[in-house]
Amino acid sequence: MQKYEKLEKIGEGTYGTVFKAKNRETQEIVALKRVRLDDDDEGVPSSALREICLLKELKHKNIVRLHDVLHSDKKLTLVFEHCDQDLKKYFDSLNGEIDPDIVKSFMFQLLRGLEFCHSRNVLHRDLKPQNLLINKNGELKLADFGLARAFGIPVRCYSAEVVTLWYRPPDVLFGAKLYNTSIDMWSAGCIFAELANAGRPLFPGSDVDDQVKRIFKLLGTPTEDTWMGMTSLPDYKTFPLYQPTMTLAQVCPKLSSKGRDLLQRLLICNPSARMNAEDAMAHSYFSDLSPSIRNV
Amino acid sequence: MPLRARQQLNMVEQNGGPRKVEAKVFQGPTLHRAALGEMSNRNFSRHSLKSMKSLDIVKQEAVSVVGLKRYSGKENVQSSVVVEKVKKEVPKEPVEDVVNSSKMEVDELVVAFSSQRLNVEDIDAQDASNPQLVSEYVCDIYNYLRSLENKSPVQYRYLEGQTVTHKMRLILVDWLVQVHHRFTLTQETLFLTVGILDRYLQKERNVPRNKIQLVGVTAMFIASKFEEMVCPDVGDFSYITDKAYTKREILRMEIDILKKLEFNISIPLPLHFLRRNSKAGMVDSKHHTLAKYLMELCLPEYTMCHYKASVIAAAALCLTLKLLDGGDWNDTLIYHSTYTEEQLMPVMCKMAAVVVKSRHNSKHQAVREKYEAIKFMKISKLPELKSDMITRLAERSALT
Repeated sequence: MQKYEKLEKIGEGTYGTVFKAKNRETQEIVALKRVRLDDDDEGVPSSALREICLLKELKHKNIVRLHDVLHSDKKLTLVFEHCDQDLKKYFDSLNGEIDPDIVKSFMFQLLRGLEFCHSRNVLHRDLKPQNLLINKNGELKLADFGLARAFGIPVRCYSAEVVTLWYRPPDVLFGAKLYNTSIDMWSAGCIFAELANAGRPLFPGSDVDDQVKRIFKLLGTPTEDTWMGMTSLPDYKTFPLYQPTMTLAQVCPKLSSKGRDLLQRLLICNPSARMNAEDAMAHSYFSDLSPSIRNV
Repeated sequence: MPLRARQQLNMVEQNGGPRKVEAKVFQGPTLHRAALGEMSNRNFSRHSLKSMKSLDIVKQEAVSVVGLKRYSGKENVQSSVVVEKVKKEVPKEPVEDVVNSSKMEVDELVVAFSSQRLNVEDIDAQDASNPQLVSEYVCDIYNYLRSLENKSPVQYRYLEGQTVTHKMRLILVDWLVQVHHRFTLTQETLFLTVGILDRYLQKERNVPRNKIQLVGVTAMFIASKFEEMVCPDVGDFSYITDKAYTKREILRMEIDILKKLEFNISIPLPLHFLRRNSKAGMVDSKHHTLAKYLMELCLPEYTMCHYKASVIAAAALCLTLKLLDGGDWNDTLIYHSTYTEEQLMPVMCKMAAVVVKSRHNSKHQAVREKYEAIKFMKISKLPELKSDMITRLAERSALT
């Protein structure tokens, strides 16, 4: 690796170690993701293959930029733009307090990045704070497209083993294999609540059952009336008919009423009733968003 | 790990001696095409008989190169005739220009076919409640796919001057259709495989004959990784070539293909566009299956590989409508496909010629045989495919 000087290990991605490095020529700081290629293995992992192919086409200010892919004997190295930290680490530095304008800015940028993916037939399928990178200028970028995939229309069956448990929508928890862009919108809703609460996860379930229970306890158990087709999902299970005991105002006390309205529309169990990214960006919650963020 | 091909193998193993029956499953005469065998040097010495055939191919090639030159003149004449006709009826670009080149931008097309000028139905109006149809993004996505397909075109006659010939490409793709079918992979994977194959052969102009099959299986290996939920493993792809290539060779080729194509393998496929067109035409599954068959028949045909995916998809459905019910390529279809019937006519004629050829050519029938199955509604046996209309259209093309 002549071109880059490795500085430090940043973390582990879906399929490889990530290092911070410096371009020896330009002094530019980058993130290097290494993928090992063994002869007795299956070659380029499909997650890496998809991430590279999809990111090559997704050039947007709210999506981490893939600068280059280097190949040497036994490894592929993906060269990404470097961001200072991920949202999870940012939360850890907050001590429970977050500026509502930052919540609004991050949420808007998350939606704008998602809208770009969705309008280019790409599902991210693994949105969570660890996969959202932020830098000193307050920019937020979607990263780790290791589980992402391009979808056709009509959307056909894809793997049900997607999205980290806490951010997984009820339809996928019930084993739905036919899902679409709404899968990412649920995760966005969970992240919105987590942002508003300065990093307290909304539904930190311990297993699939516990996850569903936490969701239904907060939002009320859906029925065939509110969500047609729910009971025919592959892993559907009957849950008690919980009535919401807490309002979103209690769950996210610092969020404005407009913000709560947006959150309510994202956290809808029925995927076809869930708000999409474009509409969410047009929600009145963002009407007083600083133009410097809107027009970046 | 538990991929479908493996499952097949396992099933077979339960039924008796694995080796023997496997041979039945994978090594039947259809899968291990003699001519492809010779393309790999290893098999060359083993089957001396086959090497004779390889000479045949070289001979045929010499003939067809002359043939190509001959009808290239004809084709020019023909397309200019059509161009004149189009100029009278639709004030638009010359046919081959619109159809072949990437010059025309998507935006221009959208303007040219503005819904205000045509009588276009909103085909997504009813879909808001069906999330599978992603109605809120569907227009953006198709505009995007159209811009994407202009970025990675396959050039007309890209094999010229290469050791790989169009005949080899035909044999290879025919064999890949069978491999794809045996592995029970998705339709997307097959179209993507051929898309990757053409783009690689276009870029890497010195592929030796004995490596073309390696390129083919590796293209399918890559396409499967991109499209499939469960991908056959590299050993399966080595096995299917009768071990002509080792796993290591396939893995090396994988990297080479990805590097040469700069990882640009999210290629829009005819299938993506057909689904949109079928919806716009509100056609039934018989129509859709026939159009799919026509598109797939074009896969092994070198004369068709340079057409854009959206053109193949539109021509296939337009021809289907003509064949089955004399159906009309209406304003809604023009708007959503972005092509008029006149623009599609030269491609439909060539497609008809491919159908005619499929009736006569006794070898390389993988697509036709596959579509004889009930699963594909026995669509390749439709009497309409032998109609006078097909023959007439085919006569108008340069292929016959």
